Amino acid sequence: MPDPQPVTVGPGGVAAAGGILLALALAAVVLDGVLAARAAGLPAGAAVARPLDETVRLLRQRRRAPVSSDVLLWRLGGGGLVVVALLMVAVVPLGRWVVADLDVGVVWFNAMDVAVWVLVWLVGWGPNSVHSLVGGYRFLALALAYELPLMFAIVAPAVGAASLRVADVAAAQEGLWFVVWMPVAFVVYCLGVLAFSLWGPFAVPLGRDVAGGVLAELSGVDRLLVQAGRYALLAAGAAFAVPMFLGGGSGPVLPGWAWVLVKTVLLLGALVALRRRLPAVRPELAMEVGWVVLLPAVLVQDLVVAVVVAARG
Amino acid sequence: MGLRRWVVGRAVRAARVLVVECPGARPARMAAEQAVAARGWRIAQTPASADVLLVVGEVRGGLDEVVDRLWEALPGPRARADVRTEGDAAAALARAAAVLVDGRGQRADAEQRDAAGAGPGDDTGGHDHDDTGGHDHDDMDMAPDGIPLAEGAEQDRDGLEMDALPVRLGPVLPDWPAGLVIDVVLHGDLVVTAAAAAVGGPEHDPVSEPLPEDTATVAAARCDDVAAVLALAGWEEGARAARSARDVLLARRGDDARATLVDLRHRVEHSRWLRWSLAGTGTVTPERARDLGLAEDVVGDCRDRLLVLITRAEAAARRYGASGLDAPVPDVPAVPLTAVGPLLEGCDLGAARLVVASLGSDLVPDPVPQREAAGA
Repeated sequence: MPDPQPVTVGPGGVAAAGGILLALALAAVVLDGVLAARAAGLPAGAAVARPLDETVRLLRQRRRAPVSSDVLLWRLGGGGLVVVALLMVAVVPLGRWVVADLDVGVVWFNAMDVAVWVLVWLVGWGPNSVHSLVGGYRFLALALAYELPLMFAIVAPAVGAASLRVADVAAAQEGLWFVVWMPVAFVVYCLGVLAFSLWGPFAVPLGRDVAGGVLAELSGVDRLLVQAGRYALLAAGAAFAVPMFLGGGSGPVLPGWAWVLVKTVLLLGALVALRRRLPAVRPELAMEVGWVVLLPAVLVQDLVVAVVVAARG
Repeated sequence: MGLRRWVVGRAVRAARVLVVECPGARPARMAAEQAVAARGWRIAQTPASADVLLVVGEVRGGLDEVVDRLWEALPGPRARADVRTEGDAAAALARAAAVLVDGRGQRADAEQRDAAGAGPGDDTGGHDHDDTGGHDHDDMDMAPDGIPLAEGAEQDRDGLEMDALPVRLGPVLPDWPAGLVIDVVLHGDLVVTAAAAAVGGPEHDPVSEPLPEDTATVAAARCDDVAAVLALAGWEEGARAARSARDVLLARRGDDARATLVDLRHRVEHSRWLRWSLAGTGTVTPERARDLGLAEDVVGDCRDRLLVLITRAEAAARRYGASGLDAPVPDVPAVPLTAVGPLLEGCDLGAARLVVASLGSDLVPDPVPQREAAGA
């Protein structure tokens, strides 16, 4: 049973939250590698050690900066992604514990995902390179398309629970998970997570057609941080969905914290697996989907939720 | 000592290779990519992410300068390997791995680069000033660090003052025809003007590759064209299927390749996502094709041309399956180089890349010299 009054953890708990997030991100990397190996008909064993090899490779590689690059902003952008992911999970209760029990936790998450706009744009802007810059433009084009639907998607559970506090939203799902009667909001939320993690169909800001886009000029530890940031954002997005749509820590037998982790891992796995299924969304078409299809759909969802809540009194 | 060796060993296991394909070296490049995969290494998209620079074929013309610049852009630890023919790649990569593992050699290389001011750090000395291309803008006043600022343009869609940026695309980009360069002017990510040219080819015949000797290799090259379009469209699964058909053909097993291609064609035709995302990209009308001296089969958008490329690959694979290595390969109408530029104008950068790939790799310099002036 999720506790409506969660315990705020101390510094040790903060470190643990960071460790759990990075472990989840690592699990996503390994799963992605295993799926890639299986698709290519290779043994999956090598894929398990691959993230370690890649990390060591990037740590051994030297950093570089092209002529006239804006090094400060470039590296702020690259390093910021992991930080934003950590700040996102700060409001996610893990059973009884939470890093920051904010009254406006839902808005906090939203503010963090908007910070990704700035960070990805800076990673594209920094190196003074055409392909990186075009990658940055592309992300902004996508962001315009996905952000409003994403915002309205997380409004639905908040209205349903009549609270912006994440623990209250989780507690409001005692009987019925929000994903059951807010399926549209859940799907739109998941698309938003894919988009702010630059993942799957929304990976066009680092697409092959722009020679890696925002990644084009990154090497060494700078590249490692950006890649780790993407996986961490994906993991943070999956973790936040658990109290918002998937009933938080509720479930039989296992304690609440274990259910939160299990649900997070399952959703994260599904998001990772989606990557291979779908081709890229061209950024100039993203607005069409975002504002003509997703936005009206999620607004209708919000309306339905509001009417139900009002009728229940 | 043991720890260092362990770290280096792990790092080199995940090495990434930037492949530079010289014109005419297509079969060797395809074999080299297989060798890279066989080592468990991966292909890098840009020099920044690469550990190994693999130069395939004979470096001629202006390409040596490009290769030098790319070599300087590798962050290090770095190794360079040169491959001339299909069989060389595995040995060359093994030598590159030995260079990467050699910590003392790499440190010496790094110190020497730093001393020369040509390290991968925040320098302005060692690099060529314009990593993306060689435009001469010495007459411009505003050029911090030697890079001219973007200029204003008369016909500008958004009225921004500094919004016309000259850039050279190629000759080394992922899924890009060997030896092709396109000088474009960008407004943001929109291609406003484009002019294609060739570098690094033999004098008499700059771009078009000498046809590979046998039918299987030709069919493999056609599959490679298909894989390029699908990879640029961001459909990894499809690109992987096309590459596996290519590898099967290179291994001389034609039947498997045909089955893969038939399946791929079916999936491309029925993919609503692909239809939606490629719809209207780089549309060429019949009149436009005639004006530019292009064959009928470029008419349509990128998806139509992708299907044409798959048909060509299927036809070549079938010919190989039916009649073996010496069968005559179905002829493919070549695309004159001067027609490429005009097709890109008005596309955004990603769409322009798709258009180039969708034309296939049979590019030839324009047979009619007058058109060169008209097309520029």
